[in-house]
Amino acid sequence: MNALIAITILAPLAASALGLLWRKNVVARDITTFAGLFAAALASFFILAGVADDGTHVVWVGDWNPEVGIVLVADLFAALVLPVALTIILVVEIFAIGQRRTSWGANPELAGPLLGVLTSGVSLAFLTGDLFTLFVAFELILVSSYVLLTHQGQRAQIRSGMTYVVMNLFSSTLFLLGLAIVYAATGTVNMALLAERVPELPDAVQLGIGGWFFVVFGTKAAVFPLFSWLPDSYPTAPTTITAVFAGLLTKIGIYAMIRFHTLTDMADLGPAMLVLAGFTMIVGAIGALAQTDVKRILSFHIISQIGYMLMGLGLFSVAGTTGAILFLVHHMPVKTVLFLIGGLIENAQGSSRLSRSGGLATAKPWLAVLFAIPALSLAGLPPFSGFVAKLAVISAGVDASSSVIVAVALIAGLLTMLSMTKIWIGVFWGAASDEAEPVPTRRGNRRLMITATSLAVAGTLTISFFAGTLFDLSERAAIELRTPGVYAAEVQR
Amino acid sequence: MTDTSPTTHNKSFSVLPASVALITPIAAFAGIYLLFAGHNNPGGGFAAGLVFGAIVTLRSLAGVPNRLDATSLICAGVLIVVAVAAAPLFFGDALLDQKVVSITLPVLGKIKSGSALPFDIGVTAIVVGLVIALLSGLRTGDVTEGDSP
Amino acid sequence: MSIVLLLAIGGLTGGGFYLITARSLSRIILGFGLLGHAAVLALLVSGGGPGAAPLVGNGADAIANPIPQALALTAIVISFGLTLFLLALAQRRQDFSGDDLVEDDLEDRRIATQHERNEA
Repeated sequence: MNALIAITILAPLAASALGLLWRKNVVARDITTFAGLFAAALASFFILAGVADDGTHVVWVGDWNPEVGIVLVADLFAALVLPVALTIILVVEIFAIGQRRTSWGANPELAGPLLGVLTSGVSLAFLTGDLFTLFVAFELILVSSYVLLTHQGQRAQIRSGMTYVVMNLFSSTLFLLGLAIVYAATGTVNMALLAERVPELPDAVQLGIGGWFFVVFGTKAAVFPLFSWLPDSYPTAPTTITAVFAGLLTKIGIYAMIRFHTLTDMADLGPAMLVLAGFTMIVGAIGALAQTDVKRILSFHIISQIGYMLMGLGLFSVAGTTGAILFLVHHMPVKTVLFLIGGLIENAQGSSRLSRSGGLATAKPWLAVLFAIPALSLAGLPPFSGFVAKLAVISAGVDASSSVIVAVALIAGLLTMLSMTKIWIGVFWGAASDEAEPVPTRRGNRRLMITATSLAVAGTLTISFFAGTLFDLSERAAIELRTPGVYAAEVQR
Repeated sequence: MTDTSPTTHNKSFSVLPASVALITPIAAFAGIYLLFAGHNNPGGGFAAGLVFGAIVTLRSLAGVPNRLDATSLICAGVLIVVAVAAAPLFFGDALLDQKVVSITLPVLGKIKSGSALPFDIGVTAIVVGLVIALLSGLRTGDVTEGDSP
Repeated sequence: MSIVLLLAIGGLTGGGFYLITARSLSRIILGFGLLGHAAVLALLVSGGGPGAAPLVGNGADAIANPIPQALALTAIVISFGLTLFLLALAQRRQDFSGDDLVEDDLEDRRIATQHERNEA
């Protein structure tokens, strides 16, 4: 188990260093990067199986005790999210290998290795048991994302990259100041110890710490009103990179929030979270309606969906947290797939603008099918995974008799459906646009891209197929998080 | 290391290249000291890396051509760090566990070091690589550096 | 807890926040530099009172808490790397447009003014 946990963090890092070392050799580079990501993804599934059977596994790094050292904690919540995230990155890497040789692709010498660094950071963020290592993991993810976003050096990317970097750097600085505050108040940054010590603090200090970290994680997660950087920066990056960002980055913010705020029991913040969740849903959904570009519509959907996860968390009940975890697991692959399809649309039309698209339903009917499945899932229609996740969150809201937020969630769902219809009408119906200029792509590469996308669609269908099992696992994870002392008892020795 | 030839574009200003040539070995010595001292005393990989980085920066200001490749340095550093982190797993110890070795040498006396030393060397390589990447990045206006700490 | 350190943290934070509200990226970089220093000082203050250097075997009774120092060092390493990146970004921006201003979201502005343009 120790080795498995080490593999998820170290294998992608080692692979990216090796890949960068022989970056001129295309085949060796792609194989190394892929092998590293594959090893990590495979290990994560074994971790899930192990944790589901034997319970939480803790690694005391360097054999220090948790007061001073770093701990990695594979509890059920981390073990559940990790395989989903790592599989997504693996699928995107397959797509990227296909896309790389086209003019739209990211710089192949850098994109693969940086994806490895990002993966390593993602694993670390999910597995870490202390706030400071979480900060380091965030930085690892962000630094590679900064370079991935701007490395092509085109004007639009530099422009939006500046907003993205400044915004995220700002929240990182707040994170660091927050760490100082937490350390001054409790004398530890270990989450298990924080779970014991924070509830003993005076109410005002507790609220201050909770609110501070809500802003920090909220900026990463693009919660209203801290979301404006997201739709600005994501669409300018190459498709594969946007797909990874869309699937993972904001979700890591939400993950950290679920972990920190449930462990330290910040139930007092619940009402404020629910209000912001409502605004996030509605503003994201309405923002999506106003857009005229496929990738920008999808970017606004990310914001709207973050609202649902925040709603599940803000209810501060086992049912609510279960819903939030299930939504997280469902949302990561669906969002990634939609962006990959956005990339295929871009490849077929030469642009992702609605005004320059049309008629793809007759020209490429398989693309329409591939789009329809995750789109319906995202809008929350049965029998897809989005329905189960949305149902879990909304029924938790009904249980807590928070009727306003339930109503807002349903309206936001309708608006999401409406903007999906807008993409459908603009891209798939009507006559083919005269301005469309397909990006020249070799047949084999195109096949690889389509295979990757189909794999990912199949993955989202698998999630809806196993919805029952996933719901049980999410509930167990939520109970572990919500029961005081369970997490702390595992980590201390 | 003792290349004192003035540069083509900087002929009128020879004080800088001369003093850089003078200071390079001293600073390199300080860097090496910091690298080895880092185990139990102030110093360590990052501090050593910054000193070496400062040498590289000074030399490039003085116009001395740089022969190191940033990417290889960063890659080698990351690989060393990963190897040191993972090695204890093969002996059944915890991730990143430390081993301390002490040997007695004739002139230097008792020397204590451990698996932290290769780790520090890896960190130094990464930091120097980053500095070089920045210098070449600023020169060509090419935003491609840095999968950093 | 020393009042001088607290005032320094306050001053650095204030100056830093003022600078990062600027349009020019070079000012923002300076602002983040100040904020980084403020955060590191805050970490040191959070470690409690002063003591001897926390080195192995120096026999002091009261040593300074070493954890915040370890945290601060890591934070310095990270802010070092990020400052390098921001500088390169500013340079790149300079190559494109001769300035280093952070611009608005162009697409957003286009959509916002679309309605007016339709009426005209």
